[in-house]
Amino acid sequence: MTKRLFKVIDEAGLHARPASLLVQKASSFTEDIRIFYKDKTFTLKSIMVLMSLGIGQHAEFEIGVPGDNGEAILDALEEVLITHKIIDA
Amino acid sequence: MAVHVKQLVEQYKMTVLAGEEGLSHPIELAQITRPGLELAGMFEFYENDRLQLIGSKEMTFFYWLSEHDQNIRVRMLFEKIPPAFIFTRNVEVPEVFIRFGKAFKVPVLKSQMKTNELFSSMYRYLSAVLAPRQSIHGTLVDINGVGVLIRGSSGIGKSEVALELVRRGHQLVADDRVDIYQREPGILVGEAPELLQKYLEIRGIGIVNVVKLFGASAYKENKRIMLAVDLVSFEEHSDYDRLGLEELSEKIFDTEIPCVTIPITAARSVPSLVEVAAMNARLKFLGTNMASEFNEALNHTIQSKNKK
Repeated sequence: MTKRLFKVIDEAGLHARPASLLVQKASSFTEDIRIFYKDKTFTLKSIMVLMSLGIGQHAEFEIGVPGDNGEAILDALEEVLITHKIIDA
Repeated sequence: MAVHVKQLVEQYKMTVLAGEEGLSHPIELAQITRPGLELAGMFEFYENDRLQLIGSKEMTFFYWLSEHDQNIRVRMLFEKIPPAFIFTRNVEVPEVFIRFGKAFKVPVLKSQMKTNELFSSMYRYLSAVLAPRQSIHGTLVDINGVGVLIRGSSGIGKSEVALELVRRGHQLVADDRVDIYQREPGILVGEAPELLQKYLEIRGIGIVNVVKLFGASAYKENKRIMLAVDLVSFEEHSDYDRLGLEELSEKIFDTEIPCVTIPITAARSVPSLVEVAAMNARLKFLGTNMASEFNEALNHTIQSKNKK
C-alpha cells in the first residue's frame, strides 16, 4: 500500500464540499482507497464516513492506496485537495 | 474510551457533596463495588479502582460502629483514592464522608435512585462507554425489532435500501458508518457517530434527515446487531445459497453474527429481500427454520416413496 500524509490548512477544515469531491475522485478508482486518521482507518469512498471524522484545521491524515497505481492515484487525490486549498500546494 | 466522574454525575443527575477536585478522575472499570466488608474492617480485597456504592445496608452497619471505628475505616476507604463514593436515595450522607472527601479530593456523590437500580444501570452505562469500539462501513436498520447490518462496496445501494426500509416504517440507526461495541459477550450494539445521527446520504439527492422526512419513529439511537446482510452484484458472486440450509456467521469482537449474502440485479427488490432476511432471522430466533422444515418434508417424501 502506498501512503501519503496530508495536513489541513483550511480554517474550515475538510468541509463538506471538498470532502465530497475527494470522495468522488476516490470512487472513480476501483482500488480500496483508505484514510488513516487518529489511529483508525476508514474507506475514502463514503462521504458520510469522511465527514463523520470532522477533520479540522491543522489536523493530519494519511491516504493509502493498494496496488501498483498508488502514486498516480495519490497525485489525483492530492490535486483535489490543492485545488480546494485544503492543503498547501 | 475513558469516562470521567463528571460525566457520570451529569448522566445520573447526581449532587456533588464534596471532593469537586476529583470530578476529573477517570473511571476505568465498569464494575461497581459496595464496600460493606471494608466498613466491617476487612480491607484485604478492597477494590479501590472501582466506584464505591453505598446504600441503606452499608449505612445501617456504619451506625453500629463506634465513632472511633467509623473514622478509621472511612479514612482507610478514602486513602486509596477510589474514583468516587455514591450514596443512594434513602441514605443520609454522614459528616465523616464529607470531611474525608474534602481532605482526599475524592468526590462524594448523592443519587436520587435506589441502590439496585443505580447499580445495574450504571454498570450497563459504563460497560457501553468503556467497551472497545470498531467502526464498520455499512448501514444499520431496525427491521421489526431485528437489527440488520447492511454491508457492501461503495455505490452498491446500502443507503437506498435503508431509505426504502424507513419508508416502509422501519428505523434507521446509522448510515454508512456504524460504530460497534460489545455490550456483553453475545450482544453487539451499533450506533451512528454523533455527527451522522438521523442522516442518510442518497446519491442524486444528497444528505437527508430521516426524522424530518418521516417523523420521529424513523430513527433509533442504537440497536443490537442480529444479522449482517452483504449486498453483492450478481456477476461477481455465483455460489450464493439457494436453500438457506447453511448458516454462516462472522465473529465481531467475541460475538457470532449470522450473515447472509444477497446478490443484486435490476429485477430484485433489495429492500424486500433484506426485509425477508430479517424476518427469517427472527423466525429462526423464535425456533422456526423454514429451510429445515422444507428439507424435512423433502426427506420424508423421498423416504415414503422408497418404501412403496
